[in-house]
Amino acid sequence: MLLVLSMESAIIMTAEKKTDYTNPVKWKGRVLSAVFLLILLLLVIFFAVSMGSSSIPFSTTISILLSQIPFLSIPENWGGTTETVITGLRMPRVLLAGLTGAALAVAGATYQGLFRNPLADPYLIGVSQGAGLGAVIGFLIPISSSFWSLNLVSIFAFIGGLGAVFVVYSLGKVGKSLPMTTLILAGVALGAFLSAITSYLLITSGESFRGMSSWLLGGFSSPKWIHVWITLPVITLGSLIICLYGRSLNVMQFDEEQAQQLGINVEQTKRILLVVATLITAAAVSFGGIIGFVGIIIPHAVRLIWGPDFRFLLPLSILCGSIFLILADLLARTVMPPTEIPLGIVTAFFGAPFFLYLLKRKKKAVF
Amino acid sequence: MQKLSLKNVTLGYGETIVLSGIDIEILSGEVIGIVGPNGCGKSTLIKGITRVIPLKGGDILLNEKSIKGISQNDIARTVAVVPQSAVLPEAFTAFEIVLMGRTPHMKFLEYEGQKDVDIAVKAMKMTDTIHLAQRRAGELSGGEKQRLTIARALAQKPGIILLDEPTSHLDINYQIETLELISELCKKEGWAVLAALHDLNLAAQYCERIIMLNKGRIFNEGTPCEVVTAVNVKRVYGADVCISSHPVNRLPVTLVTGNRWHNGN
Repeated sequence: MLLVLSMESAIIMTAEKKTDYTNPVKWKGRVLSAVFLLILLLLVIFFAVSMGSSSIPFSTTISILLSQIPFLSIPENWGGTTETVITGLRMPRVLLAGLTGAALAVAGATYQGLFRNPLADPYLIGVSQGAGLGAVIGFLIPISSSFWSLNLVSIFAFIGGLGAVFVVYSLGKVGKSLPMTTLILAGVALGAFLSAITSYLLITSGESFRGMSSWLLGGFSSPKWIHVWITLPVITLGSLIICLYGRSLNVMQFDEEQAQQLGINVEQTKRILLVVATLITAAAVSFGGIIGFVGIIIPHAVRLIWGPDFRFLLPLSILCGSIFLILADLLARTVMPPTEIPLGIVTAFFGAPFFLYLLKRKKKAVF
Repeated sequence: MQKLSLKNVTLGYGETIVLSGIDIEILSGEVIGIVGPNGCGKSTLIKGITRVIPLKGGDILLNEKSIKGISQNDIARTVAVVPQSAVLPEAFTAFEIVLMGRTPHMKFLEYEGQKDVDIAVKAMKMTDTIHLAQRRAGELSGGEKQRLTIARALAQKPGIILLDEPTSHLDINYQIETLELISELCKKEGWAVLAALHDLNLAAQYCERIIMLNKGRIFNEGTPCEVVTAVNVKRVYGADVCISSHPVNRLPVTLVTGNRWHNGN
């Protein structure tokens, strides 16, 4: 009897599957996931602010955070040091990690879409090599800048990153169009050239070698609020602009010719997305250093879970990238205090097994 | 009423001129075939009409409007292309791919609604791809992909349709079905159809007029009987063929003679 019933339900289910002509754009589930991730992000921020070498009770963290909101009087029952740790050190650090993770993940997804290449990451066309060289030069110049309390390393890294991509862009342009293969080749070649100079400077640098190499692996060891205030508008605005191009990126997954025949202004879209993705990557890299792995793996993980539609892939990557990098940074500073592990090591060490697990679980084409 | 007119069109890549002095006019309800040897400019013509490559000279009018003055989206709302061996993104489902044909009709940030879904389902039913709806493009055969791109073009609801070797990956049954479907829709929806075809027999059977291209110019234009002749095929393709007439409809049939039988073996 049970068998018959189960067979019947199986038949009904297959019949339903055959006539399933409902909208394949399952936006309801994906929007719910986004809301869930947003709540998770807030919880993770709160958790990361409480955790650290000196653990602060959650209740105190809540009170301190609430007391920052104007017109809200919270009775003060904590020490001044605790407040400094929360608001002066951990908060900017956690926010910076979140912003950086968001920027790298969304830029990675954009590059993968633009180049139609699953191996693309935000560093593909020279941002990282340019920023690395800029940072190393910043280390070597013996002047301490106090311009808006920004150090020279960040400024030079930003300039270096953008400069490298600008050179690649001008080299890769053919007439009015921008062939993607030429762009990648120019990026790889210029990147190798810049890395050679960076490596040479590194081995001849002597005592500042340690500082430089740990910058190159990424991390947020000296966070300041000014870093947050600079990156916040750039990354928020940039990510928003990229998210508006979700449908164009979907259609561009056909080749460029078909995308154009479906009404997409391909050259303009490529140009805008390249510029914006590069800008937010450079902004992220100049304070966080060259954090690997986030930009390539987060978009793929999102694709494995929620599918290839860029209209969802982009915003979900932003949220997942934020959550991932905040947690990775938490590990980097708490695993063996007082030493901090470079963030690039943490992201790959903990992120790669998780990604491999996802990959193993779903054995279908994801890109 | 749909109308595609090419007036003294010159097209090419960089410094190279591929096509020049091309004058073509196609009206609603007409299927016009473009034939010619490899590299004669059939695909270039289709790229030019959809402004994938810029015009070097002359003008192309879609329903009396020059493509120079309208947006890429306006072109896509009027003209749909079925490309030769289309690249389809592997991770998307067939349904999602056909729905992307609705792109030119959607407003900024608009999502596909029930109306678009209905159009896509209808297009997949017409091209016999509805059973593939939930399959990923990466799992489909060449012929299934080809029919899917035809479904996508139908979902685009164009007035003018350009086909670049639409039957190259299809078996004989789907070749016939595809061209029957296109000629039927051409009459019913009032499409103007331009099809680049390799197969002279299919071109003769399904096109009202045939344009034969050679070395970047129009070599001959007219009814199948006027264009598909042994002399023309010899001069344009350099091939020796026999032209017979179809036992049912008297249209020209191109016959190939194998050398080994010719020699009496």
